Amino acid sequence: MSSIVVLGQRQPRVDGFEKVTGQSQYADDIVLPNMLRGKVLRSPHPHARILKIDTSRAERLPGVVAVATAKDVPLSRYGTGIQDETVFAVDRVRYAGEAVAAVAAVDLDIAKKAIGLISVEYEELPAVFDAHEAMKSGSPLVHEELHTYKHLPLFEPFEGTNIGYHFKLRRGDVEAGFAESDLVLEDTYQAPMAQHGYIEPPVAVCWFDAQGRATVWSPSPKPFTLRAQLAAALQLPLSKIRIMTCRVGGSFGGKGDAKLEHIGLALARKAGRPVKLSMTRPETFTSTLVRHPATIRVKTGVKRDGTLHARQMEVIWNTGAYCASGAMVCRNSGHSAPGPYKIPHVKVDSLLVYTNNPISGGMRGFGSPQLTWAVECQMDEIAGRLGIDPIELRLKNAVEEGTLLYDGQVAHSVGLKETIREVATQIEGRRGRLAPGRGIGVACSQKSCASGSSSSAFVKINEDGTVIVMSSTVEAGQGSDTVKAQIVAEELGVRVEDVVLVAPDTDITPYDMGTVASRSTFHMGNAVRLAAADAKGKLFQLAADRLEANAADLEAVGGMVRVKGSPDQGVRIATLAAASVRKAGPILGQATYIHKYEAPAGVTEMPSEPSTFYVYGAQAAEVSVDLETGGIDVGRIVASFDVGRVINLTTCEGQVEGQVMMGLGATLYEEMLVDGGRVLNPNFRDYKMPTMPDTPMISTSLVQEPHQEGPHGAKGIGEAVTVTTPATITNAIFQAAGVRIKSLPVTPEKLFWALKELKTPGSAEGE
Amino acid sequence: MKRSIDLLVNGQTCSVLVEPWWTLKDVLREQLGLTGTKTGCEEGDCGACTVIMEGKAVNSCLVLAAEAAGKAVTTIEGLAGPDGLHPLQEAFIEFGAFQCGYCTPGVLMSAWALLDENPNPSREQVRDALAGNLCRCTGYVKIEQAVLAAAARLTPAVTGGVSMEGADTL
Amino acid sequence: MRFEYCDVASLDEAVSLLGQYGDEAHVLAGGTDLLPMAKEERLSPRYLIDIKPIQGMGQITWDARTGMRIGALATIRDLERSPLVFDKAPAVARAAHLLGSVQIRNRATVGGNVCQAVPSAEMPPPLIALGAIARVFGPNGYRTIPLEELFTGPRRTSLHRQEIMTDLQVPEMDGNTGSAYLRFSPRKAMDLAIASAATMVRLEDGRCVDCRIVLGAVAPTPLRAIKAEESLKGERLEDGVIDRAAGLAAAEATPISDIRASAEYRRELVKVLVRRALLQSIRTDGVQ
Repeated sequence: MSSIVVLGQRQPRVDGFEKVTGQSQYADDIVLPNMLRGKVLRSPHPHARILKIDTSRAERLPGVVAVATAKDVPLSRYGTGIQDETVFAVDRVRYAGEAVAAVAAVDLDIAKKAIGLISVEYEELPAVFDAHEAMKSGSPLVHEELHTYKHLPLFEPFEGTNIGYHFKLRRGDVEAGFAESDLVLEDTYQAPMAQHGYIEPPVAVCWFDAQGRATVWSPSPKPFTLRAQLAAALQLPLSKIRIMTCRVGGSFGGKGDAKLEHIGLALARKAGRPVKLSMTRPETFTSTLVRHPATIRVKTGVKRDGTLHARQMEVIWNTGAYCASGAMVCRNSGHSAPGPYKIPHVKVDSLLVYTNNPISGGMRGFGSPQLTWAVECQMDEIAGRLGIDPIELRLKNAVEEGTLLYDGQVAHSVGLKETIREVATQIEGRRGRLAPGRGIGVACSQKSCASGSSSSAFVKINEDGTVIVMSSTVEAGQGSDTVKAQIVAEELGVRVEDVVLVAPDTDITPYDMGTVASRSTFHMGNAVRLAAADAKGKLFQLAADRLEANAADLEAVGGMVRVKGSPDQGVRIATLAAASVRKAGPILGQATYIHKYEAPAGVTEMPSEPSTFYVYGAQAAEVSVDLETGGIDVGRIVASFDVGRVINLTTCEGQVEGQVMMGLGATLYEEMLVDGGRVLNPNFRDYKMPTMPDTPMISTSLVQEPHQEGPHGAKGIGEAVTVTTPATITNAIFQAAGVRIKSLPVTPEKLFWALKELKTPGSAEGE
Repeated sequence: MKRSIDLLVNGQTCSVLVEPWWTLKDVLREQLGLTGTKTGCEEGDCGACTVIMEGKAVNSCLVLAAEAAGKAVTTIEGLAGPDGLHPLQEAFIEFGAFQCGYCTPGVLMSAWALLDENPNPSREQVRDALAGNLCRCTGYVKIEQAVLAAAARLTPAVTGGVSMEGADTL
Repeated sequence: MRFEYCDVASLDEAVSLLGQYGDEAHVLAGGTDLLPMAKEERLSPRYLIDIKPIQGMGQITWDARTGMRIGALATIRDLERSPLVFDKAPAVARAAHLLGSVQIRNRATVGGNVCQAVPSAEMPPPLIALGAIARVFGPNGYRTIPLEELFTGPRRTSLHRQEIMTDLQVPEMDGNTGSAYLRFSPRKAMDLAIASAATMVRLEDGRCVDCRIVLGAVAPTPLRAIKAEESLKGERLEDGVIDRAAGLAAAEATPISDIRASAEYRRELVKVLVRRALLQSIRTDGVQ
């Protein structure tokens, strides 16, 4: 057990000063000499052939330096799972908002004017928007050449269809399971298209340096992924691309893929000058990533005593015009779709379907928010039908340490029951004693983490004993810089203030799979810790000579290396480092961490993609419903999550609170309204995210069920909480009002009609 | 046609040449290099561009530069004093009332304008004052705590000390 | 958006420029509706005429004879925080409080909110409920018009191209008059109303002798529910009477379905909001 000098406390964030003084540098704050401003011309049509593009008038406009279209970039496709995307639309556009051309001009006013001078002749094509329609034979095809695209072996698209991928999970025999069940429930739930809603619209600053290297300032949380995409899109070797990350104004999975960078580089190459490309808020809605609309059918067989026996799920993901991270969403969420329960018979079919809509991609939770909402709402139904307490139902079926999970993995670090009990304690005495129109609902959840990914780090000791950490995990607000600094400080026995983090830069900081999937504290936390330990080992070697002691008897505390038990027998780290630089070279530690799943003794099953860990949790919500208007007020939310080990209490709480509110928005307000592939509410006026007055009382409890391989036992927290909130609130609304809405968002209007229908069946209009 | 205007920003007079349609936000960021004020939505729905003009919090994306001529404007760059950070900024660091930091300048401006007008706000008044500042990261809880704590410290006679030690969330 | 900007120091100057530029000019006050419209290219003025420098149009005053006078350039924040408005027209103060955010309220003016004539605008319903009279200045000098007659359609008023609203006069209410403003929106802040209702009720010996029921966001303009009002006159405001008025008001509304709500739901909301507003009106009065 490590000393908790810096861990587990309220260590102030290392990026505090810059952020509260407005000095953080985001991409739009960067100004380079001779920099041009770019704008993109985007398709107004959801599906159309491009017959002709005439850029001549734009090119002639004084102040325009470069205009680019598909003919200015190689004809190559890039993508994460399926390589289906191009920099600009080539011969056709597949969604309203797709990039068709771009200009770079001396100022933004001229760039905007120039865009208006580009004329494009389109021939509109039949389009498809609904995923179910897109699956029918005879539907217009979004990608006619789908079967010719390169893809990861995992993802096999279906030729002649709009189906990009079909994920399957099988365990046991669900039909037999249903036959053996005392009660079988089947429900279909709908989740809408949604926005990540980060406050910073995407921006990229791009140029080719004097050596002809493509260089980009980008708020990408996954610089190595971006570099690979740019290499594929622009047919450049990796050595000719450099990604430098600036501060990120929120991402939640929506930033990081090439959306502006390749266009900016195409313009920069033609112009011979740096180009800054920024998106407006409406462009952020149409032309980045959205959260997958999904239809989720859940069929569950349960025994009279509440034991879950069989669960079948069919999920249709509407992935829009291009795959992006859609195949990953489909697959990763599929592994844990049936929920954190012991269910012997399980069948999941999860389909990724193309339509002529904005591109769906990963958004915080990566598919689990939609799935958890459906499953946990149905759990509530089951509890009601069987007359069992919803808390007891979950405790009865909850996975535990050692449970064999659906995908064949043996569960480890499972604090689920503790979180459920914690929530139960917090609401004890409130349930069953509420006035009409008030209710308390509960839900629990699990969130997986990517499997088998790699993180590396370098740790360098300066001659004055301060430390530089080179790591490609990107601080996007979640607190990773601070956590890295804490872990390194703890390992080396220095102050957090003496640890400096280099901004991720693909030239300097070593490979990291990405700041995604709730993986960074675990993977990069381990990497920086091991790298610091590596540096420490070198310090110990040097100190051992000096102190005439064995390296094994040394410790690093308070900026010194000293003999354990003899605090006055020591030497300053600064002294060692300064001496070493002159005689032997700088002290540099390095490490790579890749988690390898090991089945416990006696278990022979090897899962194909074991999640590195699961973050488990539970929430309860107390709501009141205005039974006359359907108005919903969330008064209180209680959240308890098993994070393995708390490294920074303030940032952990902040993650919980932020995710509860993101989940609340998804439950009550947020929906991108799309008609014929066009977004009707591409702004914050009519895409409603929660405001401060919408915040309920939020209580957070953090359960610590250490993971044997996490840094100090820590797992992650970045996504697990927002996954549970929608079902929690929906279940509370059911308790308050007696109606269950099976499509998000649960709006007052939907509630109103459902209440009316409840009162007078057959009377309700509208929904 | 561009016109020359004098802007009084953070106590300094600056002469700038502006197009009539440029907003105060555009001019602060592009002409004056004061990039602490952020672009979020350009339509007054998110508050990331909030500055204080003549003592009042406003969305600088909805104020034309020409309208701001001769008016005292304060931005995030003007919050810290010669003696260091403002108690609001210190409280934000102590309570962890920011994450990605992008909405933070606007939030601080709204909070500063509030405390100037109402040194002892209630929770409801803090919520109302900051309702026009969207934050996608924090869930607002620690922002509210930090503003109330800063208020208490700026006007200590009114409430006892408030700190994060042993603090549970709301 | 591209335009020329001119600021004017007097009403005469403003009227003259409006005459000179005609359809290509637009008055600029707070800009919180105008500028987003221009940015989204739903409006393309070539000249913005900033009337904020005109002296004497921003005050809120009162005298016993003419009642309260609210200058058109008074900001929504001024209205929200004015002790006069809170005392004399609490429903107006309430509506001001619900409009947008503090940042918006610090710029938006009551004149702008009225003259932009958005169907869901916050200020017109309570002002109409209190019998507000708009004063307008134009090439022929001043004229007055009852506020409810100002609106002719969504974003359309009966103002002549060269006319500028200068102030609103709100008659004095006697002690037996109560008023209320209620609206419904999904979030607790920042939203436009899906439906709103403003009511004014005057009682004598427990019977209604005068009332106004004004609906917002459920018709092309702010709408007085005349039939509902008539149904209350002379009656004691008991539950059955109030319910009937609420139902009549809902029937008089002509809402549309849009991305925010369906017409049917808006109509149902009117029923609830009118009933609650009427009840609140008589409660503020203190008279049962």
